[in-house]
Amino acid sequence: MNKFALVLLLGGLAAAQTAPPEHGTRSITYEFKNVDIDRASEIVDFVTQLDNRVLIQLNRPFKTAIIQPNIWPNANTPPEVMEKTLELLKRYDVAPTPPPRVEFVGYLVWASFNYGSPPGQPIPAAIEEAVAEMKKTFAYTDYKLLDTVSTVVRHHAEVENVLAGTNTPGGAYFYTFNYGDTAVSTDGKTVNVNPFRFSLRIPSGGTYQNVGIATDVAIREGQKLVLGKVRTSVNDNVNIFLVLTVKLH
Amino acid sequence: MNCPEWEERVAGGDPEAAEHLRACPFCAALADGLARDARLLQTLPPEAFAVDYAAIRAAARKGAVRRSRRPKILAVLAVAAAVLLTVKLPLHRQPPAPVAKVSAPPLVVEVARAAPAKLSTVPKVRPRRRNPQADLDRKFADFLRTRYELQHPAPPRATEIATGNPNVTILLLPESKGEANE
Repeated sequence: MNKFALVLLLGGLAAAQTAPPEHGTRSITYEFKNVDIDRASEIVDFVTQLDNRVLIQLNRPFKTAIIQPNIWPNANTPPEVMEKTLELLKRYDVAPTPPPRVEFVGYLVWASFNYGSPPGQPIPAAIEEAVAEMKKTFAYTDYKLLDTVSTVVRHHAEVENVLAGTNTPGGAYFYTFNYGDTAVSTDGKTVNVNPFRFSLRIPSGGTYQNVGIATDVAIREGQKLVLGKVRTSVNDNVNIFLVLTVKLH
Repeated sequence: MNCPEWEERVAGGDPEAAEHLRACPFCAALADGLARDARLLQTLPPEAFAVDYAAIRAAARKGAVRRSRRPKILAVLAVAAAVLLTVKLPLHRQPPAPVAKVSAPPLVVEVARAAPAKLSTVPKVRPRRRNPQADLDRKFADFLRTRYELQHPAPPRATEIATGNPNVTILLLPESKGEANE
């Protein structure tokens, strides 16, 4: 009789130990180790859309992903789905190929109509084909190179300089290149700049007047992007154009 | 109070559990399932209780009669099949055609060894083996490209002047008045 009671007792204890698991204990946490938080966010978004039976929350400060079963549409997410999701996160947690170094080269081109002896240098071979197209498009008769500005841009950059040969009695001209958010496309061929601004400060009666152009730019290596035109105070027949090129190293 | 305790309250219809349901998706799923079950129980079709027992009995009798006939028919068919096999009735053979007696020299057949004939001139297209990992990586690349294009939309081309040189693009932009950083 005592043995029977003991068996009953042990059975009861065993049953008490096998309580159903609580909700929420099935989540899996994964810490990204090889990518930055932006890339981690992209990975989480991508993996989330592959299977709607799991939810992945990104804890940005700790760069961790918390995988949880999605109760909609099915409350019973199989454990293997959770494990597969974890494997996918690990698979894409690899350092991406570093983007190429972006070097912009901007050529400031003087364009005038029968100006006489315009300032500047002859047009270099690097932008000859661009100026050839300008000659077919516009009625200017003179094209000269005023300056060449090379800028390596990571995300944003601003370059300001004196425009060579403009030390007029009223003062010098200043130009500014402003590269906004700069990014290389995923195929590594095109560079987007949002926005790109070029401005000219022109001396005017003891003060300066700002003129310029601004646009979003998409440029690929080998392309010559002619941007213009910016007027000068010399006369109406003189304008400045910018020929923008990019090199990816 | 933890979820199992809340589950009891949810099952009991405790109005205090509503606040917890808003914050806990698991208990919310439980409550939803309970509500669905309750709806199903309330919508049992009434005709389920109106049973025509006489019709059911008649159908059962008919089925029983059919079932009792079926073995007899099968037995007859089996015996017939056995008889046919043993006698080997040439049911599938055609009667031999009348043959005329013709005297002719023996045929000489020259067999030339040629290259194995091709059954078809159309090259076989082997189905490309799918590589799930490569497909997934391609999807990931597409995903990244789409995201990049959304974040960096192509600039407007309204101000673009077409040139004959594909490497040269001219953008004639409106000049900012006074402030270049507008």
